[in-house]
Amino acid sequence: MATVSRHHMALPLALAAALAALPALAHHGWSWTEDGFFRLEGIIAAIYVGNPHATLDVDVEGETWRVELAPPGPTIRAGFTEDAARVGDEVVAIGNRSLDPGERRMKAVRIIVGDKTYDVYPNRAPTN
Amino acid sequence: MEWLAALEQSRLAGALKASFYVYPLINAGHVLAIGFLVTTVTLIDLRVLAILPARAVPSATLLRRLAIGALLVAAATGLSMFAIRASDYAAMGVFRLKLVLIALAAFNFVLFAVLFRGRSDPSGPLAAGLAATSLALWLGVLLAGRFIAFV
Repeated sequence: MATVSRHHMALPLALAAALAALPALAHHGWSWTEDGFFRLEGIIAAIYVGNPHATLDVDVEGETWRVELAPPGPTIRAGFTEDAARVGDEVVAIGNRSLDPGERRMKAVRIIVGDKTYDVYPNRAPTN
Repeated sequence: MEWLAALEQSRLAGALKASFYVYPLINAGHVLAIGFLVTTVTLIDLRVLAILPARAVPSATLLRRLAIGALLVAAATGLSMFAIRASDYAAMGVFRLKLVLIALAAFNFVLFAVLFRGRSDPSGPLAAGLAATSLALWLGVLLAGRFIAFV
């Protein structure tokens, strides 16, 4: 009985430790991002407009960044569909970078492809 | 990995990826199934731990069937959502942790069923230990699952 008790105390602890240690998809919220705006420029390596969130993979000098956008509804409403850009296009993403400086990941509020601007989070987009 | 990419290219994944209604509905079905699963498992475990009196819970047979049915629905809806971005999820530590916890919880469930087969109201230290482990594991599954969307 004593051994069993120790075991199920260990599980939540192991879970918490594992959660703290691991990077991932980061769909929801902004708690994992820096406050100030971050600007990323690169070449689109992959476009995904779908559930649960749209994403871009952006090549910046040989390193791939994951740019999180909004869920597909708001992303498409902002005008950004899978046909709005192509792999190889230059893109500027403005938004908030991951708090983890080692992680090449950001959540964009605005993306610019060519002369088109898409505010996927219009409420959070920069006003200037 | 190839099978993950193949899963992402499947018609199921393609349909769910672009849908405005189906994906949230599948997601809701997943939540509903987990609600059933955790509730039924909790009732079984609290009864075994003697925290709930026998008259307070439906028969263990009924609860176990509901739990198994809910697990199957949760697995089907979960697999559907996994298929959309299979390689991304498979690379996530918290997702893999969830699968490990499900395997452990399912093993614990089967172990209990085998050890106490035919006993209508199992009790004692071993039964209580397995029931407490079950509660911890299924709660862990729920937490790991929820964190997939946030970490």
